[in-house]
Amino acid sequence: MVIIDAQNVCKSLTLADQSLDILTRLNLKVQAGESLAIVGKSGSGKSTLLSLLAGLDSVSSGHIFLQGKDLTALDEDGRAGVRKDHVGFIFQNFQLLPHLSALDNVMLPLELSFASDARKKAVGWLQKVGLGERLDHQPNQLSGGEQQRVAIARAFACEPDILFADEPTGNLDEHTGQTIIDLLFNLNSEQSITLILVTHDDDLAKQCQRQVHLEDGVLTEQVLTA
Amino acid sequence: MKHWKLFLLAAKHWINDLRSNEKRLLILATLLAAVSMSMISSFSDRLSRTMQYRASELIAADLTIFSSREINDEFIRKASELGLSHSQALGFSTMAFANDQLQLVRVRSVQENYPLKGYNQLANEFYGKGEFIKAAPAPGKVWAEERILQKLNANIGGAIEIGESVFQIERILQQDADRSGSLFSPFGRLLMSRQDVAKTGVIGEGSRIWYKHYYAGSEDAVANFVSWLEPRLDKTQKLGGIKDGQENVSSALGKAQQYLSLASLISVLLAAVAIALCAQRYSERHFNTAALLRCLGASSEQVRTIFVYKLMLTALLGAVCGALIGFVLHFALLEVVADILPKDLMPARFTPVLVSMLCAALVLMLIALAPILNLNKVSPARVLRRELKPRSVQANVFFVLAVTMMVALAFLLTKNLILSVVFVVGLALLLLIYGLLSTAMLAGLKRVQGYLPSTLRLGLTQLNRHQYYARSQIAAFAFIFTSVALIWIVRGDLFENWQSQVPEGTPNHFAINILPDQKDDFALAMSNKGLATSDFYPMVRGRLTHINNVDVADLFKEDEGPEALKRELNLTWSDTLRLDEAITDGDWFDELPENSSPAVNWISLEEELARRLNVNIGDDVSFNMAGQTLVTKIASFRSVKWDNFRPNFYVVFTPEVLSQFHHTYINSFYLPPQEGRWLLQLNQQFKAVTVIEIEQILDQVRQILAQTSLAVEAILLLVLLCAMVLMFATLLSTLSLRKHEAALYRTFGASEATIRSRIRSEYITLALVSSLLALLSFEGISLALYVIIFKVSWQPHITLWLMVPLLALSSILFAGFYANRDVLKASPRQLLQEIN
Repeated sequence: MVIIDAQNVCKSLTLADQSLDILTRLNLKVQAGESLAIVGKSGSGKSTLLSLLAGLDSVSSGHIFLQGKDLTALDEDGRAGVRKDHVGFIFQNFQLLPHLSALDNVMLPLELSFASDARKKAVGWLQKVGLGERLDHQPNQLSGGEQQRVAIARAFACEPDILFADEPTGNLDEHTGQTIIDLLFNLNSEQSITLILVTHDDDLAKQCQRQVHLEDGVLTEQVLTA
Repeated sequence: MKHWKLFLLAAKHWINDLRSNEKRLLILATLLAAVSMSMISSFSDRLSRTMQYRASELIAADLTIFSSREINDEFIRKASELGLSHSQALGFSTMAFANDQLQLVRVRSVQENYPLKGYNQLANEFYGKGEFIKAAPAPGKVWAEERILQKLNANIGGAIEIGESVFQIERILQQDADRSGSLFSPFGRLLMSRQDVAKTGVIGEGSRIWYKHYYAGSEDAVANFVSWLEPRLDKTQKLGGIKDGQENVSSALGKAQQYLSLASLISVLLAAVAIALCAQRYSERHFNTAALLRCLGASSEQVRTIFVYKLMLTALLGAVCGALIGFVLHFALLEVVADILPKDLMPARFTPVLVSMLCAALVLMLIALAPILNLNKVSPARVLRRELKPRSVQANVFFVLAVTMMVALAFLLTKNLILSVVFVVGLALLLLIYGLLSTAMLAGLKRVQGYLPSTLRLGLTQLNRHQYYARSQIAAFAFIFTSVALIWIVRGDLFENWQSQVPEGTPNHFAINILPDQKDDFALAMSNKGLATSDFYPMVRGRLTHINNVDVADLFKEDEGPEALKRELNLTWSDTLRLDEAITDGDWFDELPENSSPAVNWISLEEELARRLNVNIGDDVSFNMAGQTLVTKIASFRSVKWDNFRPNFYVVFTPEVLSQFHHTYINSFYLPPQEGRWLLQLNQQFKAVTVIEIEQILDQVRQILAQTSLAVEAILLLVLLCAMVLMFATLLSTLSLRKHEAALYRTFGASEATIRSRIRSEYITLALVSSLLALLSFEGISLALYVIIFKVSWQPHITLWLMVPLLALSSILFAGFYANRDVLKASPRQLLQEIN
């Protein structure tokens, strides 16, 4: 089942009097449960593509369907609703709220959707990522790897259909990065969640079932890795 | 339910957020607004109530009702229901006899609980030391003024006949507790018991008598009584408050209160500017949080609700704690200035605290709402691309709302709508202009940078590097310094005004009834004694009878016309206009056409009386002077300074017209209080002359003015303190930026001294640029005020050009280095960790 369908997607920005094309007539289909790596050089438009697919930004033209819903036909709040119900995120710089504890950070999306057992679920996920003893620690009291674990717990806690990850190991050393990748893929297969990640890291990309290569805003090749 | 959950979520974030600098600053700014409002309003509330209370001693009550007819008993019943104490007096003028002498006296018959407030000042010998006594004469006894006794050759213990009864003169009345009434009446005052009036038999049908009711009690009860009373008063009944006591006291009180309100308003505006700066920074720091919330699926309404709840909690904490702290601090402030305050201060009330609480919360909500609402416009893509800024909300709408709220607040504090609108709109415009001017100044200075000393060059580079923050800081500081300069200058003018009211050597005696042939001898006696006297003003007593040949009795129904129509007026002549008077309409005598035929008897009329008589320039006014009628024509209206302790007149004639009538002279002089007994000698020499002593009134006025002046000084200090603390808050708002920069400089090997010198250069430049802007705008405002409104010549305020830059340099450097002490001491790693 196709969970994401991007059709003729274009994204351009107007800088001064010039129009800058970031993505050009891009087409992409992602199957449910699939893991997909978007790779490419810096400035190739990977993060822009990720934000469009996740409904964080709007396209200049074309259509993106997520779980059959046309994101391009929705307004900002409509897309926020889709994200709340279907999408989870993991970011390169973790994006934890600095004044909240690990537990509160994980509880945040659950509380926004008024989940009744937010605390229980959050504690469960933190235990699952190995931070059961660090519930009350604040982000600045945790190492980079631990912060990313918290971010992973937060992403999975909402039980999303699709997980978007933007350079999830970009800020971590090799060893910690590998631990995080293992955790991410284990949970991914365990939960049967669609995973779309943006990375520079070839090893990480290779662990995905499929890679797409983005160059100058154009999807030039699609490589099946598994 | 969902809102409740969102509230709980917001509350949790808010509590965790308390550790952040921005949140603390926002709370601090709100707290300071509330502290200053609550402290100043609690302090000034008590002080002004106490001053009012003291002033109420001048009318022997908190409230009086005066009428020429008997006053309804319903008023007394209502007053008693409200818990007010009550006393009534009946007054009349009648002849008194003693030792075969006859003298017209003004009798005030009072009940035994008179006076309700204040004291009668009584003496046991002529010009002896007075005692302050809170009592009324017992039945059968009277207290009479010295001048009555002198005219009657009577003394203490002697008998005085009033109507059909004989009374014992018990004491000399130096000062009646109720000071209202004409000081310059040629007839003395006599106090007797209300119970004795009937025995005199002088009150009958058609007698000219007046009734006065005195009420005293708690402020609330008096206020309730006034609001109940006002719709029930008929035209013959006049309500009197402390304003009737002494013009000079009530005008000083009014000005002091206006000043306190202005000071309080300025402190709130200072806090409001700090809140605006902090809120802007707070909202910028929360763009990422908002973006993340949006990313996690929060709707814009949810984001908005969460931040508004957080803002409300901030407002609540800052406003409640601030108002309570302010309330506690006002006790400390009272303690500091205890020596100069009246000992019997009115008790504290909670109303100013509640009002301050509400105002501070509203100030924060309205000012911070625009930047906070920006947060729900943050694009979720910002989590991936930091450079994305939110689309701006309708900040103009909030600006208008904030200005409206400030006008309402100003109105609450000043009770003057026009003043409030002009003040707030003016300041709002000023802030906008500051924003524009600071940009222009930074750009202008950049061009001449090469010619500036190295410190300023470095500082300017720093400021231009962070133009956005530099602009708002310059505008905020300029605003602070303009406010301080404004409040300093207003204070100076106020003091000058008060000092000119009762300068040293202000005449403390008036001599009236000086006969024309005794005038030179009287002047000689004064100069032999070494006393400086005022001019001798001629005085003719006359009644105003007709206006444009219509009898005033037909023009005004009984009891409706001005008081001046009911009694004889003191008329004078002069060919020159007095220096403290001004023509408000028409022309003074020397500008009138000469040789008019038939000869016109020109007069100049006091403007307020003219308004109440509803007359115009050129109208005819007739006077009756000892049976002779004189028709005059109004040449001009004059403003008269009633509070100058000099003889003042409603009507001035030309010398040639009035001098043909029987006249006497009035004059004022200063006699040191310890030489009071010399007056006995004077009286022996000039038996017809009556001397009125006003030393007690002057003393009381001086005392009240001194207390008020010191209170104003204390408030000024408080505003300065507020400005200083808010300046500190403003500097802290750029602290994280500075930390980031310092961390990078330190990482690249800069020494602490280098960073210190950069910060110093920046602050020196900031201080100089903002004080220059403040001084230019202050002089602009004062130029406009002096030339356009006051129509007086303008001079630059040189002292301010020295004072403001010095104040700016010392305060900004002190606050700046204090705020940056961590930046200088901490290691780069610590700093970077803090920023992240």
